[in-house]
Amino acid sequence: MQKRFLNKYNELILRNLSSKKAFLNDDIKQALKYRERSNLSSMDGFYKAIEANLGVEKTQKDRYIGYFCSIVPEELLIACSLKPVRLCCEDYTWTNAGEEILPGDICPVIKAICGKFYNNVYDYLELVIVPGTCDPKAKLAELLSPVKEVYFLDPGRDSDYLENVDKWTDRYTKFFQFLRQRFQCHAGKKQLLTACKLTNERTEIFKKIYALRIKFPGAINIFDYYVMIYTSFFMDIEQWNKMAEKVYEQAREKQSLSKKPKVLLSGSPVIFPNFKILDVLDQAGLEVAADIQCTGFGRFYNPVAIDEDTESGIIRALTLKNIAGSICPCLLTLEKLINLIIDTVSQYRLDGVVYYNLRLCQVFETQTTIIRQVLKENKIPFLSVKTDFGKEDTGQLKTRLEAFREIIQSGKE
Amino acid sequence: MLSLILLVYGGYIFKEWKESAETQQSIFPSLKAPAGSISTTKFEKGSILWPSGATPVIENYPPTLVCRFNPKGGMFKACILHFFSENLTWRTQVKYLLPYITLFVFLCFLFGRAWCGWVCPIGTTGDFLTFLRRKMNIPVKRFPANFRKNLSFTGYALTVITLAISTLIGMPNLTRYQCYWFLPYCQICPARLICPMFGLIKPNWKDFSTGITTTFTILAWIVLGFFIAAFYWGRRIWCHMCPVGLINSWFNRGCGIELHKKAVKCIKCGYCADVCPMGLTKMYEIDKDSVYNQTGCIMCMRCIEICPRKGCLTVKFFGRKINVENFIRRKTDAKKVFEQIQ
Amino acid sequence: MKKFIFLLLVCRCSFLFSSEKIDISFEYPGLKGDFYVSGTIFLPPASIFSSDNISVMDTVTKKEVPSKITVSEKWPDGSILSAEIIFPANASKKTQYTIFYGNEVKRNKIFSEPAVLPTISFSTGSTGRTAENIDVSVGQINVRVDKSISVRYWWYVLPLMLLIFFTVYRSLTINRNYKSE
Repeated sequence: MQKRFLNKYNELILRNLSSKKAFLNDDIKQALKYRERSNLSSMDGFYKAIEANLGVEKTQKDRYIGYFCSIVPEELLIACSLKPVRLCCEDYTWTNAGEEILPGDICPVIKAICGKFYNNVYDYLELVIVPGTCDPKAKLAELLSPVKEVYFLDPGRDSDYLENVDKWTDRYTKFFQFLRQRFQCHAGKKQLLTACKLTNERTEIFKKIYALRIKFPGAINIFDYYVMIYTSFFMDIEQWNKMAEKVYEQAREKQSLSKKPKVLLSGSPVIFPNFKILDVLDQAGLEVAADIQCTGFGRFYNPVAIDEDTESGIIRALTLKNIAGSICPCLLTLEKLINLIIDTVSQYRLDGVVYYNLRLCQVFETQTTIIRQVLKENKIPFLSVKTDFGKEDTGQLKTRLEAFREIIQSGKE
Repeated sequence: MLSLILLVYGGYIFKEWKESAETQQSIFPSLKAPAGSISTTKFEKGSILWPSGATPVIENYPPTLVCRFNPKGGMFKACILHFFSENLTWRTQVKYLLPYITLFVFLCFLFGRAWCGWVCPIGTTGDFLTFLRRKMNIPVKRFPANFRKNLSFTGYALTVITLAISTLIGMPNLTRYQCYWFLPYCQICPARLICPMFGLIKPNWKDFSTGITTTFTILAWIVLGFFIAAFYWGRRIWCHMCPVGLINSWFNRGCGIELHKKAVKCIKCGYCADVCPMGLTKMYEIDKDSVYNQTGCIMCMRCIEICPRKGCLTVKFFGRKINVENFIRRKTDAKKVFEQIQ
Repeated sequence: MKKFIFLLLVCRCSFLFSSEKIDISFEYPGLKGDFYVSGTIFLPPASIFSSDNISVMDTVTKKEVPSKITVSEKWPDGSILSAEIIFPANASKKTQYTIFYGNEVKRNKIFSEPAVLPTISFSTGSTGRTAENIDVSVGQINVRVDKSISVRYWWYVLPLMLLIFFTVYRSLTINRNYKSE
C-alpha cells in the first residue's frame, strides 16, 4: 500500500534529520535492578525476556506489526499469523532524542516514541497501526510516515455502544481486509476463534493475578506486576500465558495480609521502566492493591464474548471488547471510570484512590475535579498527583503521599 | 440452544407417555362444539384445517404455542389464540372457560414470557435456522426499533381481526360461513405447517378447492416465508409479531421472574444489548438500580450470562436469587472466563 | 220407604264388606326351585290409600304370601293408581295366586316364610359423570339444556381476579425497593 501521509515531503524530512545511535536503552538497563526487589523466582524469565528484547535482530520468518493503545485489536493480527508489538513506552532517555522533531510542550511519551523511530530502533517492524485516540497520538500517523508504513484506525470520540457500533465494526472490517490483502494471508473464522481463545486465556490468568493482588498485595510485588504487563507487549502470547501461570502458582503460597493501607492507582499509564510513581508510593508506605489504567486493568479485563459465530459477529464482539469496554479518557468514558472506581473501592474495602497525572497529558487532567467531587460525596479519600519523568520532585511527592497516608490512617481510627 | 432443544423434545416425550392415561379431570370441563355445527363437520384430508386433534387426555390451553395440528401431543391441546377463536365461534358460556383462563393466567403470572424463550416449538425451529445461518457464515441483520414496533402493531392487528371474524361466524345468521372461516389465524399460522412434523405427520400444504381456501393457502405460504426469513436473517424477529407471544407479554412486567441491574457495576460495554435476540436495549440504557422487565423480553437470560461484571445483572424469582449459570449452557469460548473474582 | 232403606242397607253392607280381588296368572318356568314373580296392578280411584291394604294370597290355601309392594303412581286424590308387586313362588307347587285389596285388607307384618330379599342400590363412583348439556334438536332450532351444577365453575373467578390483581400490582410496585436511591 502506498504511504498515505506526507507523501511529498517524506524524503526531505529524512534527509535533514541526523541519526543518533548514542542511546542504547540505558533506562531499561537501569530498571532491571527491580529484579532484586522481587520475591518470586519465576519472575526471572520475565526479566530475561526484557533483556533479550533490547536491540537484538529479530528472526526473518516472523512479521512484526507495531501498534499503540488498547483500541487496536490484537486478535485480528494474531489471526493473520503476525506478531503484534505494543509500542507504548515511557523510556525517558529517548525523550531527548525526540526533541528534534517535537520540541516544546508536547507529551513526553510521544516524544520518546518519535525519538525511537527516527533512530532505527524499530526497523524490524513492517507496519505501524496508529489509533486516533488522543491528539498527539493521532498526529503520530503523519509524524511516523517518513520512516514506517502507517495505518490509521479511528474509533471516533463517542463511546456509546448503541450509536457507534456499526461504525466501529465497519472500520475494523476494513482493517481486517487491509491486513489480509497486504500480507497475503487467508484468515477466516477458525483463525479468529483460535486467536480469541488465546486472549481469553490470558484474560483469565490476569483476572486471577488481579484478584490475588487485591487480597494479598505482598504476594506479587507491584513492580513485578507491571513488569509482567510490559512483557506481554512484545512476548509471544502462549509463552506469556505459561510463564504467568507459573508466577501465579508460586505467588499463591505467599498469602500474607499487608499492614500498609491499600490504595487504588488510576490515571495516566504507568509503563516499565518509568516506575517513579510506584517508587514514591512504596517509600511513602502505601500499597497499590489495584489499578484502573489502560496499561494494566484496562488491557486485559474484558473477555471476548462470542455469541454470533460468523466472521462479522466475531469482529463486532471485538469492537465491544476493545472500544466500548475501554476506559481511555480520549473517548467519553468518565462515568464508566467513576463507576469502576467506586465499585472496586467499596467492594474490596480499599482505603483510598491515587490519581496519577502525567504533566502535559491534558485529557487526564480534565477529569480530576469531577472525580474528586464524586469521591468526596462517597467519602473515599482521594489524592491527585501531577508529575513528569524527571527526578527533581521526588521528595515533594513523597511528602504529599505521606500526608495522604496519615489522613487515611486517622480516618480509619 | 442445546438446552432449549432438550426442553422441547423432553416435553414431547412426556406428552406421549401421558397419552396412555385415560382419566378425565372434573375441574376442567370438556369443551365440545354444538352437535351439528358446521365448524366440526369433518375436516377432510384435503382441507386446510386437517389434521385436527382428537380429544386429548387433558384439555388444556397453556401459554406455550402447542398446536392443535399435532394430534399426538397428549397433554395439551392448542394455543391460547385457538382457545379464544374456537370458543367465540361456538359461543360457549363463560363459566366453562374460566378454569382454562385461570390456568393460563397462573402460569403466565409465574413465568411471564419465558415460554417463548424456552419451550415454544417454532422458536426451536427458528433457533435451528439460526444455527444453520451461522454455519454458513452469513452475518445477522439487525433491525431498528421502529421496525420492531411496527411488527408488534401488525401482530395485534392480526389478533383483533381473528377474534372479530371468530365472533362473527358464531352468530346465528352467519354460521354458514363456518366451513371456510373457522379459526382464521390458525389457517395462516406457520405452526400449522411446522408442528405436525414434530409428531411425524405430514401437514396439509395446499388447498385450492375454493376461492377462500386458495387465499388462505397463499397467505399461509407468505407468512411461512416471512417466518423463515425472519429467523434466518434476524434473531427472533417473528416473536415480535406472534400473537401468542403478544398475549403472554402482557404479564411480563408483573411476573415472578425479575431481572435486576446494579448500575454502579455497569461499564457500558454493550455485551447485553448486543446479544439480546429481540434487540432490546433497556438493560444497557438504564443508569440506576432497577428491575428491567420489559414487554418484548422472552426471558432467555443471555444478557445475564454474558455480562462480564459479576453482580451487575441478576435474576430473582419472587425476590429470591437463582443461580443461572448452572443450567444454561452456551457455546461461547469465553465460558471459562466468566468465573469472577473469588 | 221401607224398601228403599232395605236397599240402602244392602248397599252399605256390601260397601262395608268390600274387598276387591284380582286374579293373576303366569306361566311356571321350567326350572326347579324358588323364583320371584313380579308385575304391576292398576287400581280404580278412591279405593285404597296405603300399600298396607294390599295382600297376596294363595288361592287354594287362602294363606297370605309375603310380598314386596312398591307404589309407582297415585291418582290426584292420593289413592293408589298402580303398584309393583314382587312375591316368591316355588316351581314344584303349582298354585294360583290372588291379590286382594281394600280398606279392610291388612297385610301381615310377620311371616313364617322368608320374604323377598332387601335390595341395595349401587353407585358408579367418579367415572362417567352426568352430561353438562343435553342437545335437543327441534327441527331447525338447536336448544341447549344446561344440566350442569351451575355453581361449581364460577368459583374460578376468585383466583382469576386475584392473579390479575397481583400481576398489575407487582408491575407497578416492583421497583419500590430501588426508588429511594
